[in-house]
Amino acid sequence: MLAEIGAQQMVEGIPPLGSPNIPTTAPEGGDVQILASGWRLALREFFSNRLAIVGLGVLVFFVVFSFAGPLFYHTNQSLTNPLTGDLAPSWGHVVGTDDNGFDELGRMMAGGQTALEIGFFAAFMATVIGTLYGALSGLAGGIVDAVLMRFVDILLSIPLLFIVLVLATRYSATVVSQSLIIGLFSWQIPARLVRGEVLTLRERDFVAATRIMGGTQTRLIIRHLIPNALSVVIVNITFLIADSILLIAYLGFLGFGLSYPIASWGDMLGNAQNAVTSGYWWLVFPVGGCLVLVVMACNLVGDALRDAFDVRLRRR
Amino acid sequence: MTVALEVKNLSTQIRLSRSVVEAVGNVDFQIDAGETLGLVGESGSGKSMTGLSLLGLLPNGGHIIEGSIRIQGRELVGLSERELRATRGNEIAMIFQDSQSSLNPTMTIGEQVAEPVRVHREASKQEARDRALEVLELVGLPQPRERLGSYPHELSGGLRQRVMIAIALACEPKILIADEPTTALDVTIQAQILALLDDLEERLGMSTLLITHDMGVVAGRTDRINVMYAGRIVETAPTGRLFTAMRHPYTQALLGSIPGLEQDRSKALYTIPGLPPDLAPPPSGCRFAARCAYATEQCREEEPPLTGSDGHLFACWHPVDGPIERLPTIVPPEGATPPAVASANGGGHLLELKDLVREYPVTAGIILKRKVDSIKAVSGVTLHVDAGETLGLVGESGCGKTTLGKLIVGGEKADAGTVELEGKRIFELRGRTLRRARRDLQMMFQDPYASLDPRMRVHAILREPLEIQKIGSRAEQDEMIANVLREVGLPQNAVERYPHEFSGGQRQRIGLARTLMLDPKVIVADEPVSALDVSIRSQILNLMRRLQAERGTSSVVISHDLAVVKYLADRIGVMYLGKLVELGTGDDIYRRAAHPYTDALIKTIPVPDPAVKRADVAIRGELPSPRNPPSGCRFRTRCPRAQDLCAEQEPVLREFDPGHVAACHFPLQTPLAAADTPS
Repeated sequence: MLAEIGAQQMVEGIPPLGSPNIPTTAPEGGDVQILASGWRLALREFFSNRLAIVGLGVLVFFVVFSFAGPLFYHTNQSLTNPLTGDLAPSWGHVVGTDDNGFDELGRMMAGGQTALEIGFFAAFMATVIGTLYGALSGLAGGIVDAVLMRFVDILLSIPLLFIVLVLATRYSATVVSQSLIIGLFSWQIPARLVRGEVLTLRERDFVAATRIMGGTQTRLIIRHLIPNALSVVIVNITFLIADSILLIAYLGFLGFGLSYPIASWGDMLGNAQNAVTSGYWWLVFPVGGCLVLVVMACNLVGDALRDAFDVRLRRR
Repeated sequence: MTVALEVKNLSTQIRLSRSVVEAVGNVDFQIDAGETLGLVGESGSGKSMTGLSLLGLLPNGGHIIEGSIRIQGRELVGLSERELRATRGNEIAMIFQDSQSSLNPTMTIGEQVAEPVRVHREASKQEARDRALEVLELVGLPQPRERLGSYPHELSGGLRQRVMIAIALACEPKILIADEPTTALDVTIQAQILALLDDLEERLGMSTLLITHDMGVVAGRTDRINVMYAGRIVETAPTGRLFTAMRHPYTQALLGSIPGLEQDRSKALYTIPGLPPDLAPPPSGCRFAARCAYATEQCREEEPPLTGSDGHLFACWHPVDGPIERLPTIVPPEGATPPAVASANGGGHLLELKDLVREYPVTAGIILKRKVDSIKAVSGVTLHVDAGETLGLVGESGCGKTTLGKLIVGGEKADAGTVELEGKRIFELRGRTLRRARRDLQMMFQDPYASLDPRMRVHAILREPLEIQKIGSRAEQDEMIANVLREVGLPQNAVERYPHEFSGGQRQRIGLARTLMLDPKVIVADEPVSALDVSIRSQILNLMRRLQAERGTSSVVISHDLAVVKYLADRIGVMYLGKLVELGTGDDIYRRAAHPYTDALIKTIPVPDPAVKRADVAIRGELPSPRNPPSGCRFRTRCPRAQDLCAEQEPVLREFDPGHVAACHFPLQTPLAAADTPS
């Protein structure tokens, strides 16, 4: 509908004032070149990066492996069976079994689920809180900004692992509670990033224009500041996911992980501490490999996203 | 005369990820020893790329594909990077546009000026330092010995540009390339720098390539001018001939579209329709054909060669003869659609500013932020704008004109004084009533890249003001958007596009469309055309002029360019360091300037006419700091007529003609009532 009207009026066009009589169908301001949107350019840049494809592929693989895997590879992950403990890899148990007799491959899938769930959920929460906090702080400026950011500094000076350890021992450690704890205490970095971005954005003329039109602060934050700071946030999400997965693995390794019977990679590694000396390699390397691969893949994707957004303005 | 620099058939390409841009194509020119050659063109015409090709400093992906560059017979194309390095800064040097980013902020200026001497002449530290001192003295840096240890940020823009010139001259190059050497500077500083370049050339016998977009800058300073368009030289002629007897339609149109100070306000400006072509790949035939009034089939198919005689060459199949006749097209006469906006407050002014003051605090300490001082941006300005009237504000950067504009639309809060619209002090309103009142005061911004949200489509950008003000249903809003787009000359399919898909001129139209959406009573336009190329500038100026006449909206036009303001405005206010120093009609200001500052401003504006004798540098020195403005008359530190009285007493505005006021103790005109003199 709109396009039709457009075509009609384009032909009419207002003849350029003061120019010699050039027969023109174009409007006075000239036609618009149709280019790809900034997001699409960034996406194109992203997919031309080979490492990014590898990272994305690894992530997709682990999502499928953890969530779809158990549908095809049925294992018992709730009842211990010491009789089948510490079996070496065989046809019945592809990656062997652990000392409780759980199938290791099945447990890796279950652990992958919790790792990815906690990673994504915690990163999401941290990003939402951090983005709003940072945008508010940056836009408010002055004393409010100073107080809000000093609070961030204080939080950042307390080791995250310490806070999470204390809280994890007080509350039952489920996937939701763990992600909440991690999410609630790791939004400081996105908050700082967004604030920095907002500090430069708020001096831009389009923000002034919205103010002059009578736009409210809420509109400024939601319609202008956050969408423009989004590229920074998106890059940071991937790093947050990686950090959360590592953190939950630390906790598990230290023995403060998720409560039984929920499986996690950290717990598995923690339980397998003595396995290396006993020669039970299958309890250490496959899980450790999963952890390294997922975290690395997140970082690869994050790096590629950052490059994609950075060069956006430079290329045609 | 010996040839200092000879460029033959130079072609440069820039490889992008998906295309190849032919930035410079088959460029020929030569510069004799001691001669100044002007290279003029709009942005994207390849003029800077030509300069960078000469130095071998092309950006990533750029390379010379053919041609030769000879300095006194020595070939530069094909030299190794090491050999080029020995040439650069030694035989051929460059002055860049932006002295802020071209100087190293972590090195003292003494070190930076000495660096080329150390590198090229293997001079000792002491010798290099002595040479640096010598060159800094040569370029007129005040107190060079004390300034050797200064860092770039401690100097003003004009002084930094002098340091840049000193660096270029340190090794006494034979050829100096000046790429837009004064574009970032104010007119009064520009005049000083150009005079310095002239003087240096004469004294050192250098050859200069002056690259600029400003016809006014090259008019009085070059022996010969090359005009570039879309990577090609389209016309080359001795300076006088180019201005009076140009043959290429592009040159003709370019000169025709510059608003001069003598421009008749009732006539539209000549414009070049459309945009310069995309050079990846360049169009076949004459590259100007698509925008040319004289183009025929031949032009679109065959590329014209650069021909001519007597040192006047041009590339055109249908050459023109001399400058364009001023067009008979007239802007709809003022008063034809009388802006019959009856003021609500019975004959009062539409917009009235009284004693507006804005001071930015300078704070110390991170947490307590004690106020230690303040920047006096606007100090007591009283003004009024009538319905249907356009008021212009001119002044150099830092004079407070932009702050004043923001105060009018409520983008800044005044520290003292009032803004009254139709007798109401609108910025003392709160909440909803304030939002409602903001409708009537809208602003158009300078930078078309920063003023539109890059993440919003044009439709959302234009709808936002309506949404905020809760005007109309969705369908009505769509219709209003379509109407405004037509009014500003943009295609309707623009609504689905993002700002980055538009050219600078088109973006400025979108910005204008956004201000029109709310149908405000007063539009403040802050430097509406200063970010645009000459040919696009006249399009926007014509558009603004037409809308003024059609809509009868009052506006305040802010610009550093007196010609732009004079073309758009009925009355002009001249500002200096936060004060309004003179106010009057365009003719009052231009022909009967009473304030010495106004007079100097007019004299220093470079005029695109070589026949006009350049005045000597009319104002010396730099703008004093607005943190600590001079006592009494703020202009006294740079004023040729200043006396003791000026330091003691601040002059008040006195009337010189009806409606023409100026604040000066020793004005250039006689005030109307001598009794008005301050007691």
